[in-house]
Amino acid sequence: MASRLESIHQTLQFIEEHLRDQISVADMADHCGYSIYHFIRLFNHFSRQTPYDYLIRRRLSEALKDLRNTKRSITDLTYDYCFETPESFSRAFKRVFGLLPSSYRACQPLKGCLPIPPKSRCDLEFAQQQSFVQPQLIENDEMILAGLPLPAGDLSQAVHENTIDQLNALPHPEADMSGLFFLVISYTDDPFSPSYQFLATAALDAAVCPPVSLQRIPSGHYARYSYDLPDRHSALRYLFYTWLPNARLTPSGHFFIEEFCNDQEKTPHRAILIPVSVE
Amino acid sequence: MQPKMTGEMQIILAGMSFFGDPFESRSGWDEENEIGHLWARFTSFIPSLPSGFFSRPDAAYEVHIATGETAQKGIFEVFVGMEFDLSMLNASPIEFCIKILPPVRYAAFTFQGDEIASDWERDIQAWLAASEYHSPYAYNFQLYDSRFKGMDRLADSVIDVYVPVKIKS
Repeated sequence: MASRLESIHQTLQFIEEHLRDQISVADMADHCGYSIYHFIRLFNHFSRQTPYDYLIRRRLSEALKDLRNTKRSITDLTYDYCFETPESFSRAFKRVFGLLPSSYRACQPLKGCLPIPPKSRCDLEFAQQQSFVQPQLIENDEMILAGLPLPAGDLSQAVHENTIDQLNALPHPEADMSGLFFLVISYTDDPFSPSYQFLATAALDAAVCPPVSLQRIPSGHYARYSYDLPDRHSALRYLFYTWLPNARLTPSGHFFIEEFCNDQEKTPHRAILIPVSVE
Repeated sequence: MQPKMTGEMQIILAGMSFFGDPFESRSGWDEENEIGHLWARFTSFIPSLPSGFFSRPDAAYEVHIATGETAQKGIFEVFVGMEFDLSMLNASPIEFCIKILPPVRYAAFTFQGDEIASDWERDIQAWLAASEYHSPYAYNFQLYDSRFKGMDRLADSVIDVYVPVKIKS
């Protein structure tokens, strides 16, 4: 298993070194010494993504960065990243990111998937865990949460515990909602760089007064993934960069929610919820 | 790894196809990938077919066909079916297609147990390169008969892989 995982990890590095070269899936298979059929099976197994889809998404993700950070023309970027024509590049870009390259360069926000970073060895290992299960697509009712903002980036246990004590004191609308908390994380472009965090619980509106404030969480479809605490980072990467693109789903808002229950009398759990558009 | 060489034979199959990367959803050697789904779709039709529809009902074929996009994108056609006589064409359901494999000799390799899930494609390519043969067509097929006990019993199973061959000129 380890050597096969290592072969796929080396293929990921090979892909990174050749994003601007004409490489094929057959070249990737040759690089790690497998037949193309066996390689396709192994790559899917370890990365949970097809090799060609991964190659194209990585190329588009790098092209997206270049659109904002360089003055390369769209035609230049087409050929830099091995697309056949500017039209085919623009079509692929729009299919993945939801807008044309020219619109993105003009500073319009993404309307589709997020750009994907290179997969790491940790990403491959995460998806091979015995406990690995696929996320679920669920429909959530609207929720009104009462909570307090957290300093962006500061997720220290002390801050959590202090805020949780304040929220625990609020009367809850239903008994089974007590002990259940929601960390609402807003971001601009990158879910790993939060712009605002709001730690909240479901509480009776009437009980809310400053500094506690309310936040409405819209109803709709959410990708829900239960995880173990040490895997939070990998779980988020898997959801945003692999599962959503594979499921042809796009985030429908610039936020996600971490739901957790620390009440030992109930079932302790942690879950990530990402709002998604379902066409 | 020495194959058995067959005489020239033409095989006509009736069945169903998938085109793409069949492991996009699941990649294990189980039935939860597109090949497994394809087999499930195919076998679900069998009870409704008229008696004698398949000319060799004790053997099933899984044909992998490379196309112009296989090397570039890693997508290919998978066809599953059984031997069929063209005289039964009018009885073929709309969901089926007929695959006529060309008259050609085959190198037949037998794999059992763990070998079934190994990279036998690479081993076959290595054998071809060292042999007096080349493969004139971009397909091969796996033959499943009574020696195959199911995906959950690979250790007890045997399959044959047939590769079309011609003498190198």
